[in-house]
Amino acid sequence: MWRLEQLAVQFDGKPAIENFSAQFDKNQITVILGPSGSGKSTLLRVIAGLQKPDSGQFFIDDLDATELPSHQRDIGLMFQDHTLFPHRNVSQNVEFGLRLKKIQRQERRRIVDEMLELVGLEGFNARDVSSLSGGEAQRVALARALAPRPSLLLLDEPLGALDRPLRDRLTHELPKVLRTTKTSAIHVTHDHDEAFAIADKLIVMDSAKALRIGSPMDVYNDPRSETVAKFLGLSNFVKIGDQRKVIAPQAASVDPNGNVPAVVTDVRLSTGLQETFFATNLGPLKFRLNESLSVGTSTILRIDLDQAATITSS
Amino acid sequence: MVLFLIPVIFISCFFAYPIAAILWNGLQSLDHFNQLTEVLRTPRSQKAIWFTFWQATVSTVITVLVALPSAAIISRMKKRSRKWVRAVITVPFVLPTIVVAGAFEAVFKQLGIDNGPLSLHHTSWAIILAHVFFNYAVVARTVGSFWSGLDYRVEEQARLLGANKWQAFWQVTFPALKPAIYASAVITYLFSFTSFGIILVLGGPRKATLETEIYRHAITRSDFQSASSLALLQLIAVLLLIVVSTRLERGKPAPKSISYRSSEQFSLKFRLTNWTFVSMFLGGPIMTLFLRSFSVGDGYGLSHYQALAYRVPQLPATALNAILNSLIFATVATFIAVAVGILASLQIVNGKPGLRSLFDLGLTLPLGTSAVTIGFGILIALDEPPFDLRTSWWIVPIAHALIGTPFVVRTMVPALRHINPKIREVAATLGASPHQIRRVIDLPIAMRGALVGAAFSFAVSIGEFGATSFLPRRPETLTAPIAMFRLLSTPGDLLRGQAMALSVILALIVATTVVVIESTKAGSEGSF
Repeated sequence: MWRLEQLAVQFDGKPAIENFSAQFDKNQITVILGPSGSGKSTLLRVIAGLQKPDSGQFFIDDLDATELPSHQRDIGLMFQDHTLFPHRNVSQNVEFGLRLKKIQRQERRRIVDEMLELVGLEGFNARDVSSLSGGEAQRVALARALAPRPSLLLLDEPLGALDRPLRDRLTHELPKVLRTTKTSAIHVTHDHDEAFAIADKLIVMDSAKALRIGSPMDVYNDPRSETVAKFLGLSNFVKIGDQRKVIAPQAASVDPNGNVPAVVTDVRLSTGLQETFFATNLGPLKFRLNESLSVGTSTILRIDLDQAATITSS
Repeated sequence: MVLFLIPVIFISCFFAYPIAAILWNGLQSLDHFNQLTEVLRTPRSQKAIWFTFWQATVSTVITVLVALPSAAIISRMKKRSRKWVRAVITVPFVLPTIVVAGAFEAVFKQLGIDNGPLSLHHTSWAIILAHVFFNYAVVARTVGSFWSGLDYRVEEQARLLGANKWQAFWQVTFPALKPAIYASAVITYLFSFTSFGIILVLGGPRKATLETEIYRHAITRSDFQSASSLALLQLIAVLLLIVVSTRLERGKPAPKSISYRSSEQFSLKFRLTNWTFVSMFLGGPIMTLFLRSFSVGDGYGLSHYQALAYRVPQLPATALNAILNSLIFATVATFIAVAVGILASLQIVNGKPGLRSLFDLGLTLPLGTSAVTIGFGILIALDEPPFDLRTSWWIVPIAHALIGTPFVVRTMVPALRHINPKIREVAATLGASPHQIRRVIDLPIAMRGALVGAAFSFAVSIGEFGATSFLPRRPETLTAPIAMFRLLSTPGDLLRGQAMALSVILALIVATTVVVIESTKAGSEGSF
């Protein structure tokens, strides 16, 4: 169990992390979601021991580890790109941490092969790292980070530099690998699809602060603030009475006995799903419907407004 | 931690202390100061000072003019042929200066212009020709690789707006090239300004520069006072040149890695004319040197080479001994330079900010100081306790290492800086302590850069003449370039033939070293 308490980091007087407290549990994948510059990478660097906090503490199993140097924390780290050791081949990269742990050569070989198999790169052992594609390089980096079996693995936008199809595939594979190896992880990303695909627990961050912490479902269903809702890809903000609410894109259906008259203004495809845009008396709304409607159609929608989450505007 | 004192001690003892000795010699009292101005007032000194600036300026202008066409063609070459051409035109630059001088002597002899009305023997033009030959690659390579990094679409844009080829070049491309042209011109100027072996041999007694005057006062006349005064002036002049050059280079933008090169080649006529000129001008002297080393009487033979194994009265040992000495000194000097260079580089990159710039400065200054000044400084500083090294052969490799260390630092520091800091962080999270990171990440990566620096420093040591000519002449310290100079400066065809044979051997050793440099990745691109 890892715990941050009242953490604060400043760069040139500007806060990168403010008053941040959170707990990361064993065998869980925690995803930190936020735009670039929100402080999420700095947070990882503090946890890894690469950045000294200005104030606050970091605990490993209730022991204060704030001052513990990186190489003694047993915490692995994987960056976005270009961090393989250029003077070592694939095997030598993967076994780097094992050598430092003084693991015997035969055991090292066994673990390297196991790790390469795990990330789908059997037989790449002797390859020069400069000959790898972007996806292969990231798999090697993952294998290298996993090989010494760190108690906690930090992933800083590990898929950020890859092109879409590869990224989607690895988004799928990464949590599998992490769960197979029973690795606890903190994964940082700005992509909400990736976050939902991976997270056991979600932390939404913006402007140096944690805005919302919870399970992905809880956070999605109750984002609480407009900023968080926007990060999650939600856009249907409405005002009902004196309350602001956000309506999920799948929360509507076409129903002649519905409650909201609407006119279709646009229809678009977004990652394979059809999104229908409506003009309504609640304002412009966007839904994923089962039926296809053409632009200009007048219809009536059924929207359960009581189920919509209430948010505070921010 | 104590290891980092080694570069400090090395530079202090063998560079700072000798330079301080020159300063002390020149400035210790008003009396000395008057002597200083006195020697500068003699017509001979003034002529030498004027000639130093004049020949450096003319050499630089001509080098830039004749090397630009090659730079242009190189910039549009495909990667593989470019690498090859760059390597070939670099050969003159890495030749020991004394070999260059010998080669031009050979050419003048071959063309029959070593005497008579057209004679170039002991003229300014002989010196300038040799300087252009020597520095050609500096301009062609630096400008060529900078040019290939320019975005050609800008020139195409100008063409589309109605400019013809020449207008587009002069108004768009040429201004963009200026930083690279300035940078290479400044280097050429510095090399010509501090040129020694070429001027001593090709200029003869009539054409003197600051460098050869220091040598004449110190060695021929044993007048250390006058030599110190001139060395002081030389130090100031070079320092000013370096200040100007860093000013000029400050605005030099790094070319982008993704570039849009013209697919259109220059006209065949242009390329053919240029490469014919280049092969004659750069290849001719080397070929002539080669031929003359084999020419015996009216035919050809190996007798000049065989003669290298015999003692001649002009040399304290055989030429063969001198070659062996040179190889040993170069090896020892390279080891020292690499060791000191590595320790200093690590400090320059990872050290505390104040210390960092001190190391940087300390290891750049020897590069900017002329070899003659270094040699003279060692001569006057290390001949008495606490450092009486004049009786030890160590003085030669140490002086060479001093010249070689900046090369190691210059190639290692960029390699170290190039390491993505995240790589170190990853290593830390994988369990490497800061000390282990330095040992298993920084060092191995930087060693690839250091290899190039080591090869450079080896080549420099093999050909070093300026500093060595000030060091004691005894059988066990005789180096090949010094032996060559002795043979060259003695009249008589037999000894010249030997000098040519010795040149060819020196050139081959250096050429092998350069092949090593060019075949490594790190040496393939970039400027000087």
